Amino acid sequence: MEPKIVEKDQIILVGFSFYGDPFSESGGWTEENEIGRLWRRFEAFMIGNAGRIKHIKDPMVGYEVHVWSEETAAKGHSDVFAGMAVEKLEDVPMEVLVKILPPVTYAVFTLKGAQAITDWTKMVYEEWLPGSGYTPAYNYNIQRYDQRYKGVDQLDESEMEVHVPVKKAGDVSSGDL
Amino acid sequence: MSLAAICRALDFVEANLREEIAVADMADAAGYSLYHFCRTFNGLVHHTPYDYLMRRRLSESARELVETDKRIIDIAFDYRFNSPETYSRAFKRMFGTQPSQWKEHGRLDRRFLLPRLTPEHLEHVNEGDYLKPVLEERDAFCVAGVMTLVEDGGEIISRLWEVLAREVEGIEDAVYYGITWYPSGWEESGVFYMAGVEVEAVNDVNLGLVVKSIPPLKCARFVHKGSHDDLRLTLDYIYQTWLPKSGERLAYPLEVVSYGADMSVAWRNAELEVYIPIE
Repeated sequence: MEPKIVEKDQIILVGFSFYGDPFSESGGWTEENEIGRLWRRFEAFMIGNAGRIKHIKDPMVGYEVHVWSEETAAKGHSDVFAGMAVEKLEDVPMEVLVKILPPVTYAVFTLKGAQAITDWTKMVYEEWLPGSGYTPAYNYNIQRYDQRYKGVDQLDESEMEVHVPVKKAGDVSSGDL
Repeated sequence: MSLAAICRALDFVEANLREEIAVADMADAAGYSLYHFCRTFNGLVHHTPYDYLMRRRLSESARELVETDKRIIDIAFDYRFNSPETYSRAFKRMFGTQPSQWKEHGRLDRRFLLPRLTPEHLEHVNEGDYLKPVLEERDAFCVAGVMTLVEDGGEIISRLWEVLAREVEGIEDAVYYGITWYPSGWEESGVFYMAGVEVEAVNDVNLGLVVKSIPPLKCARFVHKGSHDDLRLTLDYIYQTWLPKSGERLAYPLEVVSYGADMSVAWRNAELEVYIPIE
């Protein structure tokens, strides 16, 4: 699976955040894991507060950002942010959080159907990256969902994108977050 | 999604309970990326990998605490806790008491130790509806039957059921119950087990039987499917996975298993209901 290499400007996201093991089930009372709950929380906010978030770039595009740290390797804990991109920040409602991703080059992978639930991080970081001439630019990646993503119950007809921030191997200009 | 890969990670944990291992090492043992490993592990084991590792360490350490003369501080460091204080806090969080209390009384309550999960556990918890219990209030009820102290399970329980079957012959539409009470120190003394049928009132009971009256209870009701031998797997899930995740607390050390009206079917391969009293 070959990625497209894309230069991107800074991305400004508004949404909600979770820290911990994002795949843990929430207390055993729902079937959802914490990522699912995060999205439900965001969707509920958007339905109840239409118009309060200004300058949304595209209401059909959702971003899920996973940021990792030392605790990720040790405990499986990471920071997950779910939200939408805005052109600029203006009168941001108190309830939502803002995440700003740096201008950087991304390797963009399109995952089709069941690829989304395969071990694609292994494919990206252990199979593609070592021979690509690139190294990770930051310790996060993005899962980007748009109209092509129909949901887990229609995974076969779905597509999503994974955006991996990269730099040319040997380039020291950007560093770890 | 592979059970075998997850089991490699569980084996790795067992082999390294006293070593400085990270969730990333568990993922390596499974042969998955960390991301995919966490996703798969949570979905199949219903613990986070880190939670599983910590609970296995605490459970094994508790065994050593009670069964050996080792000092608490040595056990804490053996199992990779940074200090005796960190260990005590984690221990209390899992077992509700300080390690010193368990050591002093020399008592181990096996119900609260997370066993090393086996492929049988994982297959079992991933096919059942009992994962989601119903919380309900149960009215008081009376059970007439036979009761004994059970020290090593199995055989004596089957004999109780045989005796019960003879004594209640002719009763129509009886609902059968297996009731277990865990007295304090039950690991040495054994548990009380009663095989019985629900009765309307105490006075219409055959004199050969004893009557137990169960007060109104707030319960979590689980459905167990599959063979009776696998009931152990359901109970492990209830005490070790559901209870800590739900945040509920046991109200009494009591387990009530309802076999429905036809014992012969229930004993083999059907649906049973397990009631656990909660606060």
